Amino acid sequence: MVSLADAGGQIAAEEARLVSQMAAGDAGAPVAELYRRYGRRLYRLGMQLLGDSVQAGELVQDCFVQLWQNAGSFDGSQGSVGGYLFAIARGSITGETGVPPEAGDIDQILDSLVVHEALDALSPAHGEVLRLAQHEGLTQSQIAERLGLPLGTVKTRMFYGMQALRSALAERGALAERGSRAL
Amino acid sequence: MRYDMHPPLGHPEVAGWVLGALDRPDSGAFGEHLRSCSRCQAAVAEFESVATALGRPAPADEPPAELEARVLAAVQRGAPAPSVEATEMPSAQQTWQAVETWQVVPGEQTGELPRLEEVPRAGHAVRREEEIAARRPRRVSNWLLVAAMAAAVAIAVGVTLLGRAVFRTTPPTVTATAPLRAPGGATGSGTATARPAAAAEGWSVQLTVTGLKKLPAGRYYECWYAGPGGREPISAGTFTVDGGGSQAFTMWTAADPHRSTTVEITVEGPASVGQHSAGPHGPVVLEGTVRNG
Repeated sequence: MVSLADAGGQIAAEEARLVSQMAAGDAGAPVAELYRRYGRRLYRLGMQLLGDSVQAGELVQDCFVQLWQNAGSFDGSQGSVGGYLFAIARGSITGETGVPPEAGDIDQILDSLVVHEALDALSPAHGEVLRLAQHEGLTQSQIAERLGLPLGTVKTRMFYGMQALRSALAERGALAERGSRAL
Repeated sequence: MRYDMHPPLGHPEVAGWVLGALDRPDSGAFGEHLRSCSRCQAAVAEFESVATALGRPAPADEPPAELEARVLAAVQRGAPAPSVEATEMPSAQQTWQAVETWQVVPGEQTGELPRLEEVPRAGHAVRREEEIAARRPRRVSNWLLVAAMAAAVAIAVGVTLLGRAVFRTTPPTVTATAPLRAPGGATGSGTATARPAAAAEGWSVQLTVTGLKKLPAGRYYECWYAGPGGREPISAGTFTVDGGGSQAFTMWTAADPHRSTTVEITVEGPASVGQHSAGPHGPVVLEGTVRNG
């Protein structure tokens, strides 16, 4: 049985290996992989807090340059790459706006980003039930009627959909970004 | 808190409860049940954080397609391979808690940038100011550059990509545009104009390209300033095109166009990104000379 803490630890260890490869001088594949994992989220964080696509792109670029420059001293056994990237982002956003974003604000934005990404990754059957409840405010019986499904099926899909979202949060390293206090 | 990926289903109503989607009879019954069921209470607590995040709007903006290539190129250009002794970085434990343990201190004088400082914590030594300053995100200076550029006196410098003609050594001061041709006089398509503008800490380059081919995934164009014969090339940035019409890009470079004589646009890709050489690796698709007047 896999726990959230186990999943987060696996992600942290895997990403620490990528940073180790960067420290060894590989500026290609490890950077590309970490960009795949965090680039979009960093960009959207920048868009949310800076409201400008050019600045958001600069933010992403600067975060990875700083990660590269400091890769040699990173100790993955004690923390996450995501946590460091978003700490850099927070400092950079502060430098741009002159106002430090509240830590809680960043956590909230990251949570929302990750859970919406996870929602998009769900099966259509599970995702549709959650969207109808969340976005249209339908009750389970209304959803059952709308989709022509038994009420029990809607209840089960809603539960497993939420469970999958929670699991996906862990698999995507969302909790690792926030630190151990989230576990 | 441990969360099992596949726990017993228990009461499926828990999801509808946190989403507010239970019908009235179910809601009343489950509310009663919840008072005495610790397992469902725990499940509600877990799901509520998901439901809260789900209820907030999230930016859906997609990063530009070329951003990955720009990041890879910037990392490649940023520094030689790092070493453990070269820099000190906050420990991973500190980064775990970065949001809690780092704060931004407003500048004391007008115009001074805020600085990143570690919040003193019990049992933790306060870092020296110079150590903290050394870790200050470099992006601050980049944004200064952006801000300064807006107010800087624009010095338009024409760059005409017309082959490897002999280059004038006097500083270019006026934009000049002209058709370009592929290296060696080969028949090629596309034109480009680069217009540098002075900024406080370097140069920005407004690059306008027309008719360049769209590249396969993972490959990108890169613009280089160099001395006579292509010596000491310095990148001005990378870009991709969609294959049609004119497209404009703003780039930043440490290259001083006044000291550069040639401009090249090359095609680069993953193979070249992995190399630590500062120069171009791929084929030159456009080239020209910096031209006055």
